Amino acid sequence: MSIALFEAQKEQETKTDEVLLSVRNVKKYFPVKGGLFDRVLAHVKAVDDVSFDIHRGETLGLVGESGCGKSTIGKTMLRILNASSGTVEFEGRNIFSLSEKDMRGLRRDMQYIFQDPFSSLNPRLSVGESIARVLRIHGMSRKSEREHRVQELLEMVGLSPYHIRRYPHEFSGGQRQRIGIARALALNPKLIVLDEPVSALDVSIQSQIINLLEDLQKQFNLTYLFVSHGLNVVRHISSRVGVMYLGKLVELAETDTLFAKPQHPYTQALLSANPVADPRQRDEKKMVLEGDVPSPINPPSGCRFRTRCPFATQKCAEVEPAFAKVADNHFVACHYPLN
Amino acid sequence: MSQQNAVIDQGLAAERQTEWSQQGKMQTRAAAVWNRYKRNKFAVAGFIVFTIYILAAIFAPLFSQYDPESFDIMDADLAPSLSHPFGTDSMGADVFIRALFGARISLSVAVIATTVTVAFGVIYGAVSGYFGRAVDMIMMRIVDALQSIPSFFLLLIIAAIMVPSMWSTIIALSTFGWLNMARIVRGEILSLKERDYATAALVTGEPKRAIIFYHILPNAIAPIIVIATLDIANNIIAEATLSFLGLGIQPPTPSWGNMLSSAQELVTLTTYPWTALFPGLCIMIAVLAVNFIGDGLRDALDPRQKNK
Amino acid sequence: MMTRLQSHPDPIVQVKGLKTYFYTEEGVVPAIDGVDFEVLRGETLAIVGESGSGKSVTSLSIMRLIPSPPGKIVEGDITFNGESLLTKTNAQMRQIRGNKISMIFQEPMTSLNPVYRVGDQIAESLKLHQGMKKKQALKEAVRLLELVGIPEAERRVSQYPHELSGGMRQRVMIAIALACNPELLIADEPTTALDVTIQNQILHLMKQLKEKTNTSIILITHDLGVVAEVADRVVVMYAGQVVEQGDVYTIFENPKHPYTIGLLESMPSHKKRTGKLKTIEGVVPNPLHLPPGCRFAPRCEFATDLCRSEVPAVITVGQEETVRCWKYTERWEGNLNEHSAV
Repeated sequence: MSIALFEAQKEQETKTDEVLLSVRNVKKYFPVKGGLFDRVLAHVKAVDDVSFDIHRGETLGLVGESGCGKSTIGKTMLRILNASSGTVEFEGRNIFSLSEKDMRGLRRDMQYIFQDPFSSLNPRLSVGESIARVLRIHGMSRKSEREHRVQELLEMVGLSPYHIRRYPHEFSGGQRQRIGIARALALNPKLIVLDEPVSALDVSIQSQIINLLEDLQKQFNLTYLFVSHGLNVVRHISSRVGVMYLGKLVELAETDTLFAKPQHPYTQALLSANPVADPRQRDEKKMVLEGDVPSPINPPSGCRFRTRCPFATQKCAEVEPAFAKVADNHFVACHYPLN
Repeated sequence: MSQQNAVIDQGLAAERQTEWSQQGKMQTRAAAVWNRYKRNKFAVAGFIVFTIYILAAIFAPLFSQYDPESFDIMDADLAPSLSHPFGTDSMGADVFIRALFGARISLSVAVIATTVTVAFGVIYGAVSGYFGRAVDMIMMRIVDALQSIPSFFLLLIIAAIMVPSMWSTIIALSTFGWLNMARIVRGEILSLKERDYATAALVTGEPKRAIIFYHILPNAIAPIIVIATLDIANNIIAEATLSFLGLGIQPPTPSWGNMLSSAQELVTLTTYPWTALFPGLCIMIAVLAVNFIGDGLRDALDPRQKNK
Repeated sequence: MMTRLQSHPDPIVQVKGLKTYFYTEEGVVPAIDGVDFEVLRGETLAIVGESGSGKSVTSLSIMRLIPSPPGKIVEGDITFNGESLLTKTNAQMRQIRGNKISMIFQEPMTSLNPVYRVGDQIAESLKLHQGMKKKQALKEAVRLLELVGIPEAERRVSQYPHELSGGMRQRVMIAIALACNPELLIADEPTTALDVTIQNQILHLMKQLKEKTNTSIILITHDLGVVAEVADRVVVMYAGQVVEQGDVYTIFENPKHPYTIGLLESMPSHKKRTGKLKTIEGVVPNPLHLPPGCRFAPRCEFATDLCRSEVPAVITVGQEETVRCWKYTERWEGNLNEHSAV
């Protein structure tokens, strides 16, 4: 039965091509300050000119190594951080030009789930208070109504109604992540940004949370941006996957295509480096990338990956490759895409 | 169907989990704080002593067979005895009764001044810390500027400009007392606002004001309480100092400071030591008690200090 | 009933019936509760488990680094080259640590001292244990940095830890660990804090080093992908006990214990996208209130009344494998083959 459901969901995914959110040329530079009067000495180019769309009902996975800007783009999209330039349109409205008040109203449609279930809940509020608070801000004024809704939400994420009066420190990591999910669901959002939602959890708990997220997506037709460094998890949950390197989106394709036929050398290296839970495959030749990720303050000219790329040429140092369409639903930023 | 079952299973598992966390520690937060506080014997002693001070100050009139502000020169400079447990002073007033009523004044001044400085310092620090950038920069430079002035000297000037009274003393103490609190609260807010739950509040659409005062500030309560208790101790001493110098509470109204002041002559000190000894002891014990309470609270309010 | 693995002729480390308990205010935490395993010469043994399984306490017990109080090794023995480590004096242990047994940790930033140059930190160990002179030790430090694949080693020796990236720092930690040609290297989550491509470099390095130096390695990790990549044999721990051990191919291809099976099945597949993930329901038991029978019974889909009431013994199955589960004993009702399908 679950297979059939999964197939049905897949079909549904391919059907909905309506764009829910579109990111255009977004840049996020963090100033590096120093000296006597806190002068801006340089900028960390955390996200540098990134564009993509998220379709209604899909899960877009975003992978990359630490410092590639994948979390920053998620935070910038929800205006947790203010973008340096570019636009983000949610259902056709540019959210960067909204007033603070209008943005607060829009927040019910766009939610965020954090990596660390220990720090994302206010330790002084009981679970019930944390969730009810969200309902109250958005106009649910009757206490009994709120209480009813909180119980409903707790059951939805697999917790018991009597947990309502407990405090965060009384729960395990997996349970806290469920509470975070319940809080995000409280307002019936359309889009949820999941920032490494299972990375801090034990292996046996991870699969519980992933299943829960998938169930909820089906039930409420949610759209996910799933940010993670865990390739296996992203592959499991995403319909499309974007790969980031040093502030740039280098490849974006449907999940199966990306994992089967990566076209960017970095994507290939990343997939090759991913440890596989099969000891028979350990001796297969791996693509070991030399060196480290360069500093995002002063990234290499041209293609940012060229300093570690085995195929780099003079052209790669001089001309920055465009993020171009190489096939249907497949974009790559490389002068010499692999085939 | 199966999905629902799975959810119920997860619920049951969750119940099992909380069952044991319940057995593990079935305590409210307040009880846990009190349990940790109890372990510090000095802090408990401080708490008992300070409670006695407060009760004594409140019920001072019940003890007084003598009027603290009337004196009988015939009874001047009597050594401690059964009828005058702390003796009498050079004007013939009962030192015990004056010390009791002095406690009313001294403690009121300290508590009221501290309340003012805590309220102002917390709000100032919270606003500065949360808004950051230019706001923070300007607000903190003001604090720097005020802190760079020798504050005791200014205290003297303020006290000297105003007609000395209990309220002038409170105003003098409040004017500079909030700086330290503002600084510490700002630091706390700066670090707390980076916590995920503060971001979570932003994402769920909380207005900025609510994020500071509902989500962030309550989590900074531990250092605020600790600084507040230490401020009380400082203010007790500062009041005594001002009154001793004649710029605070004016006789015949008794305060510990002006009692010391009237006993400051060498002859009095050597011949009738009790007139200085008892108010001095009152100050010392009160300050020690409050400091012990502050130390105890600092440890008790830190949840990382587990119940050992 | 109680059958043990046949001892290998000359294991480098033998852990026998080890129990390490922590005495806390709330009660006694049996962090390790009767653990047996051996590390053979030249092999990489992986100890796998989730948080609270006791895998890190096991390594700290071998190093005799259990904080005491509240921790104490209450029973059992640990031998290194046939000699008991538990009877050694602190001075003797200091001679062994960093010299014959060395350790690398998860967080390379906090394990390096920020105020000393990288080269001096490597040389320190050489001066202490090998009695080298400063000049000679620094020369050796350069050689070690080259060995662990740090480019421009001559320049790097005079840099401070903060000038290096995370992957570089972990390489430096490995260089320090290798400085005295240890016979045993304990690596506690050595790649958890690193990115995938850097993790790949470090795992690659560990494989190479094992071939070059024939050092035995205990690798402690929660990541089954890492285990499959480098381990020869695997010990799976759950709630302070070893639930299964065997060679890496058996563990991945024919796991016996329901916990091992559950762990492997709950991982998203690297081969194809499947429907729902399998899960192990529930959570790890509270160490203060462990279930009376098998510790995994509350989460086990096969659990019977027997599992819930009596603790299963460790039994040997196949040639080199042990498992702590009632299913593989004669007291199990029903056909085992029916359930043990993978």
